[in-house]
Amino acid sequence: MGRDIKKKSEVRSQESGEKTPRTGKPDLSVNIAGIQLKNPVMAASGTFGYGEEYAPYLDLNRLGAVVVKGLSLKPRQGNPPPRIVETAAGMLNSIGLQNMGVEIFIEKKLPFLKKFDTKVIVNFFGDSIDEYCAVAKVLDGADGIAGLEMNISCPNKQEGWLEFGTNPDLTFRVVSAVRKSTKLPLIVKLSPNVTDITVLAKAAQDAGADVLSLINTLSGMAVDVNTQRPKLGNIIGGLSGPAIKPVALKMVWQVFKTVKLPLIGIGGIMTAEDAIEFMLVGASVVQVGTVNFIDPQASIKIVDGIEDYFKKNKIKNVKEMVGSLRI
Amino acid sequence: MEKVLYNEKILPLYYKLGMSWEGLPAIEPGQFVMLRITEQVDPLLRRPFGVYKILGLGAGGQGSEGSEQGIEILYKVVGKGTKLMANLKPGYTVDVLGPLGNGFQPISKVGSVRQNQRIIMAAGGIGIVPFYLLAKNYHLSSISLKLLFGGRGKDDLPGLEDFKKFGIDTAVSTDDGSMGKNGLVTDLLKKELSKKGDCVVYACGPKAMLKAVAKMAEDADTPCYVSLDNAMACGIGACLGCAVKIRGQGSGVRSQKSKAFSPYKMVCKDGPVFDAKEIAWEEI
Ligand SMILES: Cc1cc2nc3c(=O)[nH]c(=O)nc-3n(C[C@H](O)[C@H](O)[C@H](O)COP(=O)(O)OP(=O)(O)OC[C@H]3O[C@@H](n4cnc5c(N)ncnc54)[C@H](O)[C@@H]3O)c2cc1C
Ligand SMILES: Cc1cc2nc3c(=O)[nH]c(=O)nc-3n(C[C@H](O)[C@H](O)[C@H](O)COP(=O)(O)O)c2cc1C
Ligand code: FES
Repeated sequence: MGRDIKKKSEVRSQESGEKTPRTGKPDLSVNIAGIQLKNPVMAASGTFGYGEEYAPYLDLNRLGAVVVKGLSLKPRQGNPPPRIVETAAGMLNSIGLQNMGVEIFIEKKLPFLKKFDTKVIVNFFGDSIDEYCAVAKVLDGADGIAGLEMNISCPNKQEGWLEFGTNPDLTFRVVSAVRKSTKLPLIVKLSPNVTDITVLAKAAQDAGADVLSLINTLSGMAVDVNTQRPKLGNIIGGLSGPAIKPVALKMVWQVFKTVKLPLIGIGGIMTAEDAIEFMLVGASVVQVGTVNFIDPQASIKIVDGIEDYFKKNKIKNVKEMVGSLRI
Repeated sequence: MEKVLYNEKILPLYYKLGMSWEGLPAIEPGQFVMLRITEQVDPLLRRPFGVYKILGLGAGGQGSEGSEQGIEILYKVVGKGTKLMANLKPGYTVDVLGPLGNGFQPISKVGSVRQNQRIIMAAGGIGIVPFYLLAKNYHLSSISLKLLFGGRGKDDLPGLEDFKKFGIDTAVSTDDGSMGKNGLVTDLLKKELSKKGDCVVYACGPKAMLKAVAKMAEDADTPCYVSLDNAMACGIGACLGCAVKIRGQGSGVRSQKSKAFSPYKMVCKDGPVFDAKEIAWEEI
């Protein structure tokens, strides 16, 4: 199921939606699994709330898509504080997937997001295959959702709390089941906390995923030597930010060589240059996460920066860039 | 991007950072800003700071300190970010996000307190910050103000001079007895609460102090508001990182129909000032 790196024309992700305008302005639009994006930049789940929180600080219409905070069937209270701690060029979080539940989201948050000319992608999870399917079904019936992103970095309560995303068999089963529960484009978000991510990527592809996004946070911890206690209430958390970019890039590259699905690159993106690195190794789209906290306008600056890079390097569209790493 | 006007050391670990702010918005006592002081990625996140003074509003406004419009931050050097801040020089730029959060409730909105009563401000160390603007708001009114200011030692009472300058009735305590009463700010509070008449307590300082203050106020049946300082990433309610446990909702999740689905509130958005009765102090 690998992809021939040389024959980029075969990559089905990068059919650019609009015809390249005659003005010579580069075409930033991308179509992934039928989701037509005006540009390849999305706000990452959990770092952008429900979009509302950031609306006063940037023009949401300028984003390719907003991926909302992960939703479960019922509300979740999340982990005890402290929930965040800064580390060298990164941060650990142990939010614990606190959320309002899918129904309250549809009733209270989705109407606001629908008003904008951007795509809404809903990130979701469950602690059993049944819960994943139930959430997907509820979302399938809602209006204004362009696609679903399945967070599989979540423990399975029916099978010894093993994380779905760390076991190829579990990944295959949960993605297959969700695939049958929704007609919406299905993005599967991979966990980096595995020995060989390509095995999980193949399992998700075989199970019917339309797109893969990677990476979620890297598992980590921090210790306070003064109190001799963990710095996070949950002891363990997920690392994000620039510190994880090299790891994320390598994983996107490995997965790009292994599967045919379009990829969304995530991990430590702060600038347009970072985003372009991900495109070069095979991402059709990028998500920006932690940087939103530091500069609420970062995602828009990245869109502009990609456009400038395309102009400068005479690149006509996204398709031309993706996976074009020179080796 | 705002410009640094001055950055003065006022005590061994404390600095005052003045910065210009074009089109300065209205700022309530207790509100904060998120500062980014470097373009580098380490330290990565913005840091939250209260607004100590408002600069350059002239005679008609809240104050007339300095000529350029802006704010003054009073800060303590504790780690990576504040060490870098101490190196800022006039003319350097700083990125300010804010003002954010909810400040102290105006006394007119504190139910059981009638007009002409007392405000007690209880501050521990750098917890003095929100009280300068608060005191400015009330010191010409009929409400009497009392500042209780505690620190580890005489070098841990930043801004004390400013309060003396505009005549705020102040009592000081230090852990080492180097200034004021030898003891804790709660010792001062005990005496103050035993006086006759309705009052409201506003408090800011280390968590252990706030916990003790909240307990004393509750025992005395006195309204009390505290300003919390949890670690923050976004500062605008998006990351759910600055959660504080709220009392009385048990451990379970409320029914989906209920709007209050979570036993947590966010310090950045729901606070940083909270009614002390709301906080699950036993878990802090
Ligand atoms: C709403 C709000 C308002 C605030 N207002 C002010 C203000 O007006 N002035 C001010 O000086 N600070 C204020 N703070 C605290 C300030 O944000 C922190 O001191 C700052 O983020 C520390 O950054 P750092 O990089 O220097 O320390 P870090 O490198 O992040 O931390 C270094 C060490 O210091 C400890 N530490 C962190 N915060 C504090 C603290 N407050 N006191 C003592 N040790 C601490 C950490 O646990 C760590 O061990 C406020 C915080 C909040 C949430
Ligand atoms: C505070 C926080 C909350 C997050 N919540 C979620 C979530 O609910 N679902 C999810 O799939 N990923 C979540 N993530 C992971 C991010 O979407 C992203 O994959 C990760 O942070 C790496 O990207 P970054 O380095 O650009 O932040 C969260 C990350 C952070 C920092
Ligand atoms: S700091 Fe992000 S929610 Fe409060």
